[in-house]
Amino acid sequence: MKEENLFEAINSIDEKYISEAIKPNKRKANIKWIKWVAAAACLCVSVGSVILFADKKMQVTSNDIAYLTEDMPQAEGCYAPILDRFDAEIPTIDNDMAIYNGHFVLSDSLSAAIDKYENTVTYKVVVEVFKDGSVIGTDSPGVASEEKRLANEKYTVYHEKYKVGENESAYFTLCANKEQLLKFSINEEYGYYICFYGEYSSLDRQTDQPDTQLILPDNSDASSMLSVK
Amino acid sequence: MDDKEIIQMFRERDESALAAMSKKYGSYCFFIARNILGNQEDAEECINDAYLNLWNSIPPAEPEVLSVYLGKIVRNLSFNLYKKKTAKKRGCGQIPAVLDELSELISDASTTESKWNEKLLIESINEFLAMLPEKKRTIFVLRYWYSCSIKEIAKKIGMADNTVAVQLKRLRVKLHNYLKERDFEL
Repeated sequence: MKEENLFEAINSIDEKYISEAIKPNKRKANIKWIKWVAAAACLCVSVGSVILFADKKMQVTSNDIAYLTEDMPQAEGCYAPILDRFDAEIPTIDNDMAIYNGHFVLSDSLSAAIDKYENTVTYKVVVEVFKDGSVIGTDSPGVASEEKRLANEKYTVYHEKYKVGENESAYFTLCANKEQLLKFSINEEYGYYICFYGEYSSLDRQTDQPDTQLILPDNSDASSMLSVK
Repeated sequence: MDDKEIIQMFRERDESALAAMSKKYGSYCFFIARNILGNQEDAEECINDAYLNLWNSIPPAEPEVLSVYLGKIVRNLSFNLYKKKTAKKRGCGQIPAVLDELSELISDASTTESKWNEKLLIESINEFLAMLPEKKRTIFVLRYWYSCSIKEIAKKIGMADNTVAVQLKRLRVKLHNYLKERDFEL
């Protein structure tokens, strides 16, 4: 069978291309969410309630996972810069950084932020779910069940979807305090990489967007990470 | 532990090299084998065989990039096992889809069983890859070397699934034309 011959021939392509394909920072994340979340936070501050979002296409499901969409209202000038630079890279399978089942890893920036701010803030983080050493899709049933499980364990869980041009991105995010992150509730079937949004794209940092990260006071309304006092 | 130390351990016939190898590249190998075979048991079998193969080949072999050297062995062994298995039953990894796509490169009308000059073919594929922008090349290699699913590629490079599928389709047409121009009988 000729396609098999072709498959076998491809085995011998230049090794630099084989390495190149799995080097870190291949993925370009969509930084626009910061604007949306920050904008949402602004509105929340002004109105003081998450109810506002119910009118703006945020669906809250029975298990408390909020589904944010790009239709979120926008506003300008409400960024919360905390960290200067994110140097962490998304773990990839080309080295020993892949997250094994039953383990979780906090990004360097997140660990540094926890050391610095401890319990004074709530941390808004992106959760990457790994199965057998590879990232699984945010829209997969595995991630959906993990979102439900963590929502039941008192994490404030979000499933965020954004569309820019023809690209659609989905993110499993949550708000947690220091304890909830340091003793992250794991399911032995999965591995987890927990980081700030935007950490895994060096490309986005070259845009004119400021490097920002939303960290909110821990004493904010527990039902909404977006309300800031 | 760096690759040079591991290779040195192989040369000295130090069996802990295998544990070091497994720790460092276990998930990399598993990723390749699982994409091809679609199940953990077969993947593990191939990986163990690959370690044995590596043990027998170093020395005298002196891999430049240990991960890729091992990855190639895993890919080969996995594909051989896949072929053995599919003589009985179709596997559930990515290979049926990957092979289907590669068969598009070959014209249905072609009845020639002529053997390609594999060396020339590899050279041409390398030239083709060299012409591509890095992102497209990465998509190609993830699909046709690593046998990643479209979804996995989309996730890795931050594109929509559909965009990746379209890009792959275009790349196949391009490669087909490129090889045709170089007189490969497709």
